[in-house]
Amino acid sequence: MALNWKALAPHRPLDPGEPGYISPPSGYAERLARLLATGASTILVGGPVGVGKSTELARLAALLQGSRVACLVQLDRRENIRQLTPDQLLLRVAGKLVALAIGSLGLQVSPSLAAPLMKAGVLSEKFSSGVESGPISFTASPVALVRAAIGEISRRSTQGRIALLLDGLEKLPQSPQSYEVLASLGQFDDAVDIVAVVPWFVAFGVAEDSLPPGSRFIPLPAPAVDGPAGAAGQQFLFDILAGRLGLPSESFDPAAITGTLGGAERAPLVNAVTERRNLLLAAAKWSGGLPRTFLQLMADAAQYAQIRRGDEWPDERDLADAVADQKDSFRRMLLPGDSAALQRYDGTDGREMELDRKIRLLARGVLLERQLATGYLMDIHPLVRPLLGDGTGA
Amino acid sequence: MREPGVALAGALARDEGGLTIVTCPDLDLRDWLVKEVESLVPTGAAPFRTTSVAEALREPNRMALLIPSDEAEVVRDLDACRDQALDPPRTQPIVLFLLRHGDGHRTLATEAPSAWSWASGNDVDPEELAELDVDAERAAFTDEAGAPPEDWLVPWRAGQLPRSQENYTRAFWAMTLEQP
Repeated sequence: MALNWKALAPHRPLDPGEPGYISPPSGYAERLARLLATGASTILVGGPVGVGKSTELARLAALLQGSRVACLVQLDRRENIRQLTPDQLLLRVAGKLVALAIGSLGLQVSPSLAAPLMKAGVLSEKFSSGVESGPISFTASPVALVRAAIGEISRRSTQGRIALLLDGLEKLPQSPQSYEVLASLGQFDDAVDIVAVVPWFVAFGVAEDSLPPGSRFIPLPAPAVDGPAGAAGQQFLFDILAGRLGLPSESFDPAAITGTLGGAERAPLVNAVTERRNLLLAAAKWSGGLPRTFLQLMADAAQYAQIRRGDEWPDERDLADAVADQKDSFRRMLLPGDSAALQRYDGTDGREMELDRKIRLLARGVLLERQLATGYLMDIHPLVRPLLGDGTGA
Repeated sequence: MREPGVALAGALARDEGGLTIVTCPDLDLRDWLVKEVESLVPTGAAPFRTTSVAEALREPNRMALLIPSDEAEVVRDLDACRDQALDPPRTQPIVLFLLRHGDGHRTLATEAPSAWSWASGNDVDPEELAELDVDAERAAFTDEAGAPPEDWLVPWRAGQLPRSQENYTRAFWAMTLEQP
């Protein structure tokens, strides 16, 4: 069977309940589920691009289904986030909540709630069958509508409590309008759990006054993929790749080749699998533990192999060129002063680094926060490290 | 060594429905590169030109050649709307043409981490890659293709060679090395 490298789709997160989910070594979604179960009510999710925030949020939605009405609102699939207003956010949440109640939970909702949401374009007419008959004339502000939706659906559902999982807000620019959007998270009823992916600037106290009291910012870390602590992270990336290619997870493990094969037949197979594993190990280390970067490297290397030789599997040269492509992307992203700053704060906790620069570099994964027993350390991404000169350059 | 044609062909083909950035040294060469990409893609990609992110997103099954009139705004819009390309899922990429050292690249670096990440490793600068030993590359082409670039391009342009991915890639490479 030919490998379908297009299936890697590095830019596509998994949807709730979609097969192929691999839990990261941090067990992030399970951790958030435990926090909600023990009383946390507003959790803010952060992390570098491509670390898997959207996939973890979708996983959390699946984990919460039994105990809550878990409503995943993928705002960035419907709205231009930089133009998002608080009212649009509230209406989108209300529309998605009602759609979930009718489409997935099989509940009926009142026409007075559904009609204004349909009129606002945030609830499709296809959900009309789940709307009770009766008077429909009702006009209300977005905040009143979302509260009405929360009240009605929590009362009619068997779970009772609602969890709103808001994806896409990490794309908010740093602006007064964005602070208003973040402040609208405090407009929901106290009986609602909120988990929202937010921009990095939130992690450093910017917009703190806008956020609901008691909010907790919990970053999703990129797993370690190097050194003795890196084995779990490597296997995590291998399993994602195997899953997207439709291969068994042991496909890259030479020790898994057993059975009745004799030594002469077994040796070439072991060699071939060992070569593939070594290539994947190299890609994993270059990725810094970011799943999207790992998949991009492998997809890019596979394209080189296909175009150059018609080969199904890339070799070292193909991966080297994919690495060079990624380095070019990182190089174009570095601004004057970045090299010196990166070298200066590498291996520190980064507290002295200029805030705007730190936020920009953390958001892109140029700097990765590594959690150690003693605290957090700034680690330069492996694709960036070779680009740095003597500290006086870029 | 990354050959410009291979790098560009790989970038166009890597992600079904992804984002490819083609970096252009100047506006005149941007027009040329747009035509080159149009001539390289399989007819099934049904490429079309647009200046608008919204228009590009409205056609998920066609390759959108996004030629901004305002690079910074287009990059900001791509950053904010990126996930609209997932629902419905695109089957063809968006190809964004940006000037080297222009406002688009600066905005990618300063304001648009999502768009940058989407295209990471898929942003090619064919002219920069083509700064190479032309004589050696022409000799390598001739050795591999059995004819110098100009001679190989004659049957290609006459439609006498199969429109395979290998030949599309070779055509781009030949055009890069072609001498008047």
